[in-house]
Amino acid sequence: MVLFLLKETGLFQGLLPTRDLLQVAAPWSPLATPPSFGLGHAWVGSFLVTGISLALAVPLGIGIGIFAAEIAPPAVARILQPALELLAGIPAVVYGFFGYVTFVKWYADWSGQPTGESLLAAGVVLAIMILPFIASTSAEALRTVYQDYREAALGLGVTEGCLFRRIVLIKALPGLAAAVALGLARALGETLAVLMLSGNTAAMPEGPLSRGQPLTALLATELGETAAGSPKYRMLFSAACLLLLAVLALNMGILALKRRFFEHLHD
Amino acid sequence: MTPTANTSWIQVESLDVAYGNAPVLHQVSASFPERQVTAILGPSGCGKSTLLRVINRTLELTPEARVTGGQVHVKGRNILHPSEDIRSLRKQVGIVQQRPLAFPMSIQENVDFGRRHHHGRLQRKERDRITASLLERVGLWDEVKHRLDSSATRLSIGQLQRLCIARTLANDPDVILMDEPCSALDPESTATIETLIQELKATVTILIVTHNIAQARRISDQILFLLDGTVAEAGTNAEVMGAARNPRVRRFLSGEEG
Repeated sequence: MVLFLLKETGLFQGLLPTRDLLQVAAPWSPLATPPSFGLGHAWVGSFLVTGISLALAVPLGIGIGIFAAEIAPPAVARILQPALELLAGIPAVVYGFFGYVTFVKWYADWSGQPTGESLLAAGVVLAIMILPFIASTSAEALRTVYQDYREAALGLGVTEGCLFRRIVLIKALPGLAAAVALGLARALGETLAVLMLSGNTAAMPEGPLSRGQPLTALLATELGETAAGSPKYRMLFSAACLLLLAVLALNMGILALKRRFFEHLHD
Repeated sequence: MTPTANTSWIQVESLDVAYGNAPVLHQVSASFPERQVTAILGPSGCGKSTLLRVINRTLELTPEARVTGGQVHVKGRNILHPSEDIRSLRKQVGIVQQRPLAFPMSIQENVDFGRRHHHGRLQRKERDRITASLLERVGLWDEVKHRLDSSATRLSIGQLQRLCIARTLANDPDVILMDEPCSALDPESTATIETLIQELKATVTILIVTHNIAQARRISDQILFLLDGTVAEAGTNAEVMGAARNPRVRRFLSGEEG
């Protein structure tokens, strides 16, 4: 897949649009003369939407994970896991419609604007979409550690809080990091819901309440009307490669951080 | 039927335990004398570990397990009473698990884990002194004295089991419950633990679950033999090993049944 993507960027023919890729401050005007392929607005849009979704979903997801693994009565825990799996299986377009009739509508009503699409709405819906992944991965990581260490630690007369703080949290750190990495990859790569809710406007966003066009939305919108092999086509594939690279780099960063923390914390 | 006792620190009376609807212990009565080693023997699934876990109430960490009848007294106190301070009980009656587990912290922090929780932080010098004394007591000091700050997970399984005993001893317990503490150890580490048990009984009452008849013969003063969740035989080491009345127990002790 990576090779196919790289081939379409023109890398092997020496046609990689390096200059355009570096011009992040330039506007996205592929039809202008000369055309301009600045992707800065898309990167900012992607990182804003991903940042909002992670800021909401990570604490909430890990919180649900803790609840499912330790606090929930067995009957509730039994229902929670399939419920999370069900949420994870809902198509993105359904989430998109849900966001459209709730957050987008509320923001339009509140702000008095004709439509209420914004990066914030996209981020919030994205948070709901990645929540089941983070929650179920966290729950699994925590549950395994609890099973192993619970009796050994509580048998010494310490409290559940002490067990959680000094053992479970530390031992479950790799699993929790995996949960965040999973959420991050999903958030950065999500296309449809983001396209429906962000406003899909090729302009530099001024803040979370602005309309914007995250990279995936730009790729999905533009690719269908682009001639194969054209400079714009190569630019879109280059952007897709960079997105893939960004997801890989962020995941490797989390992995490195996890390893460093874990060694420090005496695994 | 109870083991011959001098001063009984632990009295179990008509204890019934079930996992869900399946009874595991039925009308078990026993007493465990102070500063002696009592070996709890019996075939797999007869309720040995369950009995041990009732005595410091770690059994209730298993959701489907419940005590359905009877009483357990530790130093005259009914520890199954709802008002019992469980944390204080678990400090007083420590447990050493079958599978030794290092907590994700240094060797010194592992030793200090329970003690620090119950008594708070100490000055570095005092903490070092207590750690050294506990590690010396379990025969681990010479092996780890230069790496107290390194991870406990790097210890061998035999060293780890001794660390777990030191961690339990740090709480200054009156009773230590040992659930097959040597089952994962090589003969050399097993011998070290057995010597340690003999030394510990000068200050601590020890109940040990074991499958190893030879080990029970070597280290125990008293023996409680369980069969199908009931007490089949109880008495001093010599009484049970030499003249068990129950034919199944005799077959088990002779190795004909296991």
